[in-house]
Amino acid sequence: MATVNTSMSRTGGRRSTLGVLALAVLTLAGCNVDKMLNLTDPDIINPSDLANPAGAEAERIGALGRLNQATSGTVAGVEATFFLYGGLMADEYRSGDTFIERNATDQRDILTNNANIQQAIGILHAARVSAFQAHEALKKYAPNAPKWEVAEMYVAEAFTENMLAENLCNGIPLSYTLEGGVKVFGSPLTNAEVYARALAHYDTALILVGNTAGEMEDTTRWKAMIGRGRVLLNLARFADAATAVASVPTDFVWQQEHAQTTTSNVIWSLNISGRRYTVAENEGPLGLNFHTANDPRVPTCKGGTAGCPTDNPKVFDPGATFPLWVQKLWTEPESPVTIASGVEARLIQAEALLQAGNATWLDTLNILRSRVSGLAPLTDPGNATARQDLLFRERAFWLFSTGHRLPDLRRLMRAPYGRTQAQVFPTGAYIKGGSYGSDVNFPVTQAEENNPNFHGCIDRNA
Amino acid sequence: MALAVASLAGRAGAQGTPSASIAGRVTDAQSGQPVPGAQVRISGTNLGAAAGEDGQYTVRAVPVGTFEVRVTRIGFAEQKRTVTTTPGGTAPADFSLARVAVQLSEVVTTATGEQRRVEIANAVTTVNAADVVRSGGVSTIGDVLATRSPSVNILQGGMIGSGVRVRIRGTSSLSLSNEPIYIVDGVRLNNDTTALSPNLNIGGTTPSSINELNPDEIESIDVIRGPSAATLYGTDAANGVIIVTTKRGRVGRPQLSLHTEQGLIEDNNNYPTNYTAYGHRAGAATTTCYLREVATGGCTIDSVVAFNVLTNKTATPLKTGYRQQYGAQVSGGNAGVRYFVSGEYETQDGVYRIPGFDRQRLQAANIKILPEWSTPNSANRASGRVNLDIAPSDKIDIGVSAGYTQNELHFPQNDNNITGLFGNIFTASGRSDVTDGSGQRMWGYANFLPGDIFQQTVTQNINRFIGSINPQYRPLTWLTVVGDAGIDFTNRVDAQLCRFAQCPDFGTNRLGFKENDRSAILLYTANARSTASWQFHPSLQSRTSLGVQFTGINNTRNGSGASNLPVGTSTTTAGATPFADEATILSRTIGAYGEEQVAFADRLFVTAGARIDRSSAFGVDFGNVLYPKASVSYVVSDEPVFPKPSWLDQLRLRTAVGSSGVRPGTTDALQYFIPTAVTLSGSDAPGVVVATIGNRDLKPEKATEVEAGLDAMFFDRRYDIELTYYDKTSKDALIQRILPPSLGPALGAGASTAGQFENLGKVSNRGVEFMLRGQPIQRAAFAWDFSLNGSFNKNKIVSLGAGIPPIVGTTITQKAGTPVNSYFGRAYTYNDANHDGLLSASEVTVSPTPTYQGYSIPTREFALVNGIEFLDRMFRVQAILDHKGGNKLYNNTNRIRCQSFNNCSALVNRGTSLDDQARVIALRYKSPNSLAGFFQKADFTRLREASITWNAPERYAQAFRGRSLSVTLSGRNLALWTKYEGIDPESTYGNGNIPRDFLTQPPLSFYTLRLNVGL
Repeated sequence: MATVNTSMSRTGGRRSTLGVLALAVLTLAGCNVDKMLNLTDPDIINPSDLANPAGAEAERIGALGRLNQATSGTVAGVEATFFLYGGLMADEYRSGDTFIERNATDQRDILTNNANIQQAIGILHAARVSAFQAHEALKKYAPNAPKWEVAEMYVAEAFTENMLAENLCNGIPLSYTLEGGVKVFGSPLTNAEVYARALAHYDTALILVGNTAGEMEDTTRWKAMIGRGRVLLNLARFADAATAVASVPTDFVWQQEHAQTTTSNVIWSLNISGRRYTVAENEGPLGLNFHTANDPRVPTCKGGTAGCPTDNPKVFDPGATFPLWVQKLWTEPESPVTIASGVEARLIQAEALLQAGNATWLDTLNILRSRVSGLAPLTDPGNATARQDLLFRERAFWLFSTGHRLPDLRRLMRAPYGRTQAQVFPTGAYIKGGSYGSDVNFPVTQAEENNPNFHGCIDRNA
Repeated sequence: MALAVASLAGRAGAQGTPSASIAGRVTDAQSGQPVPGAQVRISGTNLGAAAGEDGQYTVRAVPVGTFEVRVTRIGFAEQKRTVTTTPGGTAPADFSLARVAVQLSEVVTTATGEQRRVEIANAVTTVNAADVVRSGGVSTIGDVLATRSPSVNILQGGMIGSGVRVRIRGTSSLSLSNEPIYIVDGVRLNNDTTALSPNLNIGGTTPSSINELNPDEIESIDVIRGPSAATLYGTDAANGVIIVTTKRGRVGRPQLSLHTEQGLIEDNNNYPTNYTAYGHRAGAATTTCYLREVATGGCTIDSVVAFNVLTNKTATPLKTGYRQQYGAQVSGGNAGVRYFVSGEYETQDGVYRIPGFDRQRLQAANIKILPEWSTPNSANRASGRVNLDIAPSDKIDIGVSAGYTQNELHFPQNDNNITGLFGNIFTASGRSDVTDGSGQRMWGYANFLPGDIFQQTVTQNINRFIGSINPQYRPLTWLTVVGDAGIDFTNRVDAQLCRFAQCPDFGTNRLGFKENDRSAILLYTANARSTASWQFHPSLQSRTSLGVQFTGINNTRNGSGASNLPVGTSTTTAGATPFADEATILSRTIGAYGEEQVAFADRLFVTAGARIDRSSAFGVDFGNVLYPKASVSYVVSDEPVFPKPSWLDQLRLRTAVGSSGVRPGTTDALQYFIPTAVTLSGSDAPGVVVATIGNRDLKPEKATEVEAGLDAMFFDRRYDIELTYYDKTSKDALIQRILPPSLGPALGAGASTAGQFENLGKVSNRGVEFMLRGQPIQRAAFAWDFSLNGSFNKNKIVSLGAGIPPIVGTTITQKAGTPVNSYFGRAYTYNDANHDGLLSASEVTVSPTPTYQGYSIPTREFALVNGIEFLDRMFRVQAILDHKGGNKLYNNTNRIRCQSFNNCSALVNRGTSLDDQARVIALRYKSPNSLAGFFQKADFTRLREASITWNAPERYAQAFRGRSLSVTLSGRNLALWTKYEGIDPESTYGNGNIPRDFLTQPPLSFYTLRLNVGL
């Protein structure tokens, strides 16, 4: 082995090494590391930036945006809404899709890991929690904001709560994310308990808006009234429901608007553009005849025929043995969708009248029908079951594809109607193979198992 | 900071009195030819030099004394000599190196500088990229790395320009990237594996940034495989480090090298045929009919029609693609300045075309066929590089590296895409005579014809600069201070266009749209380190390194788009409905490290070190992360007492333990809001919504690895074996814990759940890897060499964290006790009870609960390289067999054909095996159904490369005053042996953690002729 002979002494070497070591450490320590690592990402908005009236207002608008997506809006690949899935499980739509998840919904045989349903539930909760966060922010950071703005957020929260109960099984947790990211995990609630929560929030909204005059106050009040009526209907409190909506003008509509710059109409997107759903006809076979009824309230056409908004006659699934049937209510991506209306208020009153044995229920329906050219007056079918069928049919055509049909079928299975599943839902052989399943609502999906309080649906009853 | 270190070191260096030189020539013992690039090092100091083109070298500023001088070069045995210097004199020292298969004294690039392999206790593979490229047929760094290192799994996308996925020692991270990091000449590289604006969509395929590197510019690639070796590279290095060293100039007269490649690209895959069966039911008219109905007597099949678009000459969109490359390199210099300059241009036109019948359709409609429609999948790359090495004094070297690439990619719509090419081919019926609504014969395409599909163009234009400066200062013989500073900057323009009244009639396509997104992607690196080496005793040497490293990312993207284009326009400006978006990614990481290595008698090397990191991506309540390491490398055969048999040349035992990390995403720790807009009363109103809940305690995923192995050389160094066992455990594994939807978290685009990163899980990853190399015959006229490398890998999720339920997807489940990214599905059985050869639904039983079905990435890999040289070694023939297996691949292409498009053979053909029938019945006719039959064994063996090279005798080159001439004919992806039931077990369109065989382009075959000329 060669010998290294340099002028460096061993002692000197150690000293130098220690010096280099110390220098490196000091050099590193001398840098203001925190400052070097402190970055400002312009893409994100820090919570502290929103702790002011303008921030609370922005949260309010954001919550309205999420409500839009949870009902009839689609953006950036998020196009899951119970307006469609409910209709798919019921008799409004048939799956023209190749996606297993959508076919399973159509077949009423839904697994808890169904990604589409998981997405729809997620969007609905996001809208609910955003509304909650917004009314809390308004109260804290914008105490001088108009009361109707706070009330509107309670309405949005209640609307989503009602939708959750109308579509999901018993056992729905209502969790919250508080300011600062604090998580509050909810415990499973029955549908009735969720309805009660929605009712309370509608009540809060009405108290907030009070009798104050003004356009925004009026519309907020009517939204809350219709919402209350709908919840009360779900609770089979027919008389209370009728009272709740009595003062809502028939012409009133609450619409979700769409634009190419914000959200597109999801029904147009998936029925006309994507051809994933086709309007059903006598599905199951108890389903309503949405094509052959030729009802101006649900205008339909076969894809590729003259005047139809699509030239394509086929559904997306090339293996499907049925054509594409298109609804012509929403023919453009910008078509607005009514999510609550004075018509719905009158329908609630009509049902209450029918339940009360008041013969004017039919008059109420016929007054509504007289507003539409081409609709002849109805006549009394003569027996209780047929009257119920007629009323629910009217609701189905007036409220087509707006998240009412599945709740209505579920109501038909509950008191006071008490029908069996086979008398209400599509059953028998499923058109794409196999048979219809037994689901009458959607499960709370697997992702919720990350909530320590949740251990599955309490039951899947209607 | 680096200057401060250098400054102090400089003051210390004033104590030294170097005043001599050592000079000589390094030659090949066999041929007598010079060995350019041979590394000459003086033991116990940081002094050294590289041999020039003529083999000459000079080490300056050597102290007066007696030294051991070592010379190393890949492919040659190390040689040592003792040299004594005198004041002001030049001590001569010539070296004559013997060729060997491999040796432990090769130099490997590490975080603390270049070190001999023997000093490093980890298995590190060095790929001589220059040699690989010279043999032709490689276009990307993935091609260079494939099969050349154990435990390195390369999966290249099928289409030209598609990305590459690299996995080293399997998969360890559940939720973060499992890609290694790349360092080029000391600078961290952008390694985006989804390098396409999120506003654009091809269907799944994305390019990889790493493919923009030109392999012709690379000298060597060192593959650092695991955390025990990558500790000093810090956070992000847990998945391995790939260190790329570009070519440098050598002392000598200018050496000009020219090369060209001309090649063909073929699609030689066997594609499935589409079937449709017609039959009748009692009392019913002709109808489509499936075997299951036949089994129950519900239907009788009368005829089966079949069509395969891809084998029909009229219908096929496939053609022979063409690839060409032209390049020139010049290098040379003197002791003061060395240079390397290169330039290259490459074009690749893929295998897609508009078939003749469809051209006629377009022409009949007076639609002018644009050039980009005729070459819908292509890649053009122009690259240049200037590397300088400047030695202004005996104590200072400055390396400057500058590389520039201009890359242009064209992609058609494909993959998971209703308007995609293969989507329209694999989902059609078995008839070619079906017409669309206008009466146009579809020739076996489901919805859209190629002429329309290719009208929708996706292009990517890249301008990329990778530059660095690497000053080195040696104030004292024992002290070196090195700096690296550099950037990797990319200007990227991604564009997607459908002109008015063009493209498939789907959605609003034919109203026209344009997306034009511009990204500026910047990675910057600043390193400083000092290394002190000295010899306490003739048998005891020390090497101490200290360093700091700073890396940052600053990516910005501006997206603009518009729909409703007027006829004749193609810009976002022209669209009636404009869109815009903006995105920024910022990140910084700073680290400091120290390493001490002690060498005993040049055969026992003990190393200990640590690195400490902080990053802007860590949670605000988390501070620093510490990564320690320790290792021992012991050349036990050099011990006098070792009973070395005569056939054994060297035996080394080694073991190492170390940690490294994977950084969370840049904003994963933060709670923040994002903007949104909603239309209210006819106007768009701006609002905000919560985007993420954040995690203030977020820290990096930390992987600790224990590695042990041996290296042995035997039979006169003609054979060597490297055997390594590793056991890696990732603790604090970052798991994107799914948030309960009831909390109301924001959903990303297309996502069904939202997550929050938490440090929860624990993943175990262990395996064995080996490399056996040999030169059984080495004669003047004939030689045979081979290498066989292989690896076995097993991984397991030890824990997902307390209270975390399994993360369940449709096909992939993350569950404790099973491998990362496992396939899960419901098992099924069948019994043809009536022995009629047909299964009915009642003869198939599906279990109710999904169970583990298999790995999604290979657990074993082998590559066998064989080369022979003959006719005085004028010719070399080489072939590489590549085997991978132990995993399954979800044959989603066939799944959707059988389930939704009713055109797979198993639905209608009577000869279908019961296995095939059962998987279709379990999929289609059972509730709950099962996808398990489509998780199919993906073992394969592929003839990855074969080549023949003619190294022309010198007289041929001299005929045109040249130095050298060689011609190589090579092929890539030439043959495949597999039982995978899909098209190809390497089909994938995504670069994520799970391969995706879904309506995607399988690997193509390349045939290349390369000409190398040295002037």
